Amino acid sequence: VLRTFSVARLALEIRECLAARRRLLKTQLRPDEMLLTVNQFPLLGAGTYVDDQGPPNGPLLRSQILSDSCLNPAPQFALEIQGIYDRRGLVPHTGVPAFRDTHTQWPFVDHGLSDDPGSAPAQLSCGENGRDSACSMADATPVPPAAAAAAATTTESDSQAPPTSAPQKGPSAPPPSRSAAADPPPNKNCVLLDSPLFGIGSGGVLRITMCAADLDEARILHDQLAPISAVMAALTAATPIVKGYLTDRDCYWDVQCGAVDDRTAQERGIAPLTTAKGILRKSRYGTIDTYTGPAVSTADLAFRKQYNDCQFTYDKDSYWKMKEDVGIDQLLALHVSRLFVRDIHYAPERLLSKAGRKDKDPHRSDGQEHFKRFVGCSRQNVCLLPPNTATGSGWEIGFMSLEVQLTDAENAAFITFIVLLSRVILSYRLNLYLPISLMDQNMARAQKVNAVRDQLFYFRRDVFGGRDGKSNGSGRISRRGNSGGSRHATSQPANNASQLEKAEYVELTIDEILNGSKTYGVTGIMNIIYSYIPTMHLEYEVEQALRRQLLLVRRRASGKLCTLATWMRNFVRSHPEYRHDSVVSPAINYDMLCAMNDIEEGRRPAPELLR
Amino acid sequence: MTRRRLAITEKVPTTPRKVVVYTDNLMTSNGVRNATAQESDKELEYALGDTLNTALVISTSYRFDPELNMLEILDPHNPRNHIEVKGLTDYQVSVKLFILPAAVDVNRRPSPLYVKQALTCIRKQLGAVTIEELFVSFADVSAGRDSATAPEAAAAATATSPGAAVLTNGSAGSLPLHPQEPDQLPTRRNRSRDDRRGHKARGLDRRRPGEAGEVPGNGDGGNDDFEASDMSRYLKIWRLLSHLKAEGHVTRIGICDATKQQLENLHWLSGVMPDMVQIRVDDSQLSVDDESATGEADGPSDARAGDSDASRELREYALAHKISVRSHSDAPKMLTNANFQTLAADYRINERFPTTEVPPEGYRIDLMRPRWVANYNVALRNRGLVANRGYIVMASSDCVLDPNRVSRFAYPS
Repeated sequence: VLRTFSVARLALEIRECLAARRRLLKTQLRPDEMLLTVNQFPLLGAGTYVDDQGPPNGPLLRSQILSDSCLNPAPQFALEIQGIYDRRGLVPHTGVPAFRDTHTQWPFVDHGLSDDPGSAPAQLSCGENGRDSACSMADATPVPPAAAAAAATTTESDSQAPPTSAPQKGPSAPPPSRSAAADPPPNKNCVLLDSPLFGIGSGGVLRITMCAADLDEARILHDQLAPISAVMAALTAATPIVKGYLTDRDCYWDVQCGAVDDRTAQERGIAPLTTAKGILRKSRYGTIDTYTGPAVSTADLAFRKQYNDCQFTYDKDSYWKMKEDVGIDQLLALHVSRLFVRDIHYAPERLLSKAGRKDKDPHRSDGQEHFKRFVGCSRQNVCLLPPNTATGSGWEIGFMSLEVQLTDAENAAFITFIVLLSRVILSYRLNLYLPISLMDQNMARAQKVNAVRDQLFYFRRDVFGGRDGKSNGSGRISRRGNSGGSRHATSQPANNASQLEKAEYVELTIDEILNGSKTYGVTGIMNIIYSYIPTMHLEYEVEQALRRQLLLVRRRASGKLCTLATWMRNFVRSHPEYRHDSVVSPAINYDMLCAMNDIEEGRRPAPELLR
Repeated sequence: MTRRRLAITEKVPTTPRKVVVYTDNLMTSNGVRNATAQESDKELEYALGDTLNTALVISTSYRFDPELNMLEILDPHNPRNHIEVKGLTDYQVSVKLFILPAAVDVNRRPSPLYVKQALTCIRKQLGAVTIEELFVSFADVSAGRDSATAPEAAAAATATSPGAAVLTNGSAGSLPLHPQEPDQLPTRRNRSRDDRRGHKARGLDRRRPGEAGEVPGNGDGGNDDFEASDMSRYLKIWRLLSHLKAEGHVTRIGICDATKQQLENLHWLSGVMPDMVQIRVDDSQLSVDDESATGEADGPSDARAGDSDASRELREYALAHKISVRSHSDAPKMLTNANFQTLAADYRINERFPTTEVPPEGYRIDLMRPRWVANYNVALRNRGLVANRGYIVMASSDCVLDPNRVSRFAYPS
């Protein structure tokens, strides 16, 4: 199957495609229903939020706030939820820090979860810096079970512990072998969510899957798109309201990652390691742990080993098998063997059947689907998807960190931006490598409130260079002395130029990353894309449409347009019924969703969001 | 001086000096971070500087052809940047040729010899490729678009460098007639094919302003519009392009920065309609803070504030005649004489010539002026990738009449 790509079609047809899908879905709606593409229903889990809501604490979900009717009755979803519960030993809890408004009750107490120890083990877990421990990294210190209360010293003195965290003495219901230990210290001022359904069931992402020519190109794309994922998450932030509260986060990434966390206590580092393969620092959904590096044959020295500075566990057997027997290079073997640390929760029977002759059992898989399940098990911000001979797809890269936007125009614009970025990365051989630790920090910063304007992100200053192993070179003959460049008026500040030129990574705002910055000598990504577009020789109309889509992205980056999260916050805070206590009542929610529907259908102008 | 050097310099070259500079592949070069393709004149200067630095200062990778008296400064990183075709993708080569004001023949019209030369250089660089799209951009047409339609203003605006002192071969605005200047007397170099076909070539020039009514494209009457839209100057080059298209070397031909009247005129004069027309889009039309430009990716039907009537008229005309409209944001003056001469002085190009230039009696050698700039790019269209992008610049000096050097004696000895 030869797939062709055309920038013209990208510019024009993506939006049509999205609009067609929307139209199709809308034909199925009843007159009193509306269709919105938002990440998360804002009141999901907030008491009674929907008609015909069943009672919580059902046998399938075991959630105190969600009823079993939320769960899709198809067997794979129930199996998945059950699998997560089984593996972890208890329902994974996630906490999202609450937003402190003028009249918010502080310290914030989430009354949604009852404190009945008998119904379900209300083990709450949250890292001391307000992030979910399921997603915390090197700073999560393992806490021995006896000192669960003493671990609170790492946080501020917890004089008034939330009542729901009282039952730390130990759960009664679940099997004792797995969860005898208490989790790290309780949440501080967090909104608590206690079901994986908050992650895989309802969190929406805009997932872009791009086809690469071969494995080498796929590796390049995988590595270069990973540092951008934090930038994109901040640009498309759209989820400030969770479970009916305004939160201190604009993105849904951490919640999603934490909600499906199925690491056992040993893997989380709480219990001593006996049966688990090792300490897993991240949940199975998270950011990548390792770059795959460029293929050895390309002789590209842009990648240095120091970039993979995150500790992670991998499956040693498969690693050595791949490396020694098959001869795969080390980084790719690491990347793949990392997948085998997780478990898949369910599989169709035919996948598990013994290897037999293919003609006898036409439905027997040849391992590709099985492997794809493992790949799908752990979802990162960039995923390297293997080829599938059944569908004819090749190596693909999935870019996962965008949040879905309200209108088709915005979604199409961001899709276009990412696809053009991938073309530019391949054409110019850009070098965007960041050490993994810095990338994780970026991701943490990207989720804060209004990260687009307020936060600084680590970024590689010189994206064109470094291919020869040096930070400024591009693998070419270096220039000597007074060269042509200095004679011909390139405006660089003389004094701090040398200082800045030596810095490999700088902290920039998103505006500077995308639109460039003279002070830091950063060629903005948009400028690179704009110099790529003329070489595609598009028709005038097509090019204008493309430029207008990119203009939307530029304006979001520069702050002229606000993100959906900011818009939602402003709406809530300016609503007459809002009492400035970070609580979003159903009335406010209804008005907000109606307004969003009006914007999407064009009945209500939103110049601060869309133009 | 060594013996060998003496031997070379004894020969007086019969053709003036030429320099052809090939820049590096701009997609992978070191200098790409300093100027983006949006400011293409700066990018060109930077790329030239980079190449000259690498080829002349750091390593020596230039070739001298004594017959043509031509110095070829090759792409130092990829001496022959032939395209490799990998797998099933196919490349498309598109070339934009900027005919600079100095590239004129004795009749002060842009000469097709330069076009042929440019295509030869492209073939040298990229191999024997079929050029998918060839745009030609005439300096005076492109520059004249910016100023008002008055041809006098155009002629004044495109007056070139002070560096080339007295004999500025300033671009003729749109006036086909000029008072004869001393440098236009037949020189050794300028005696080109056109002279030999003189009567035919000049036949078209017989059309004088008085016959305005017969020529389409200037229905508005008046000398000014006629002058502005008269494309007879460019006819030779246009004919060459249509020949190339007919022979299959070039798939589509296009012209840049032409108005509707100019297109009509060209079609009437030559019978060949361009396949593409490139219009200049100022990137500031879509700036971040511009209130009038909408950010929504609407369909192409909405009118934008930066859209002028002429541009819309042109697009409608193009739509009617199946001409594809493209856009570019190249500067109107791609490489001025002064900039090139500064570069040449900085890198001492003239010293690399192993010959000395001895002008014939009564003539003198002018400073080198750039004649054309070719911007090529090789793209893998069905994957959306750009493999190669670069510039080729050709400059040469003129052997011009120097009144000061005429022998004092009335009778030659």
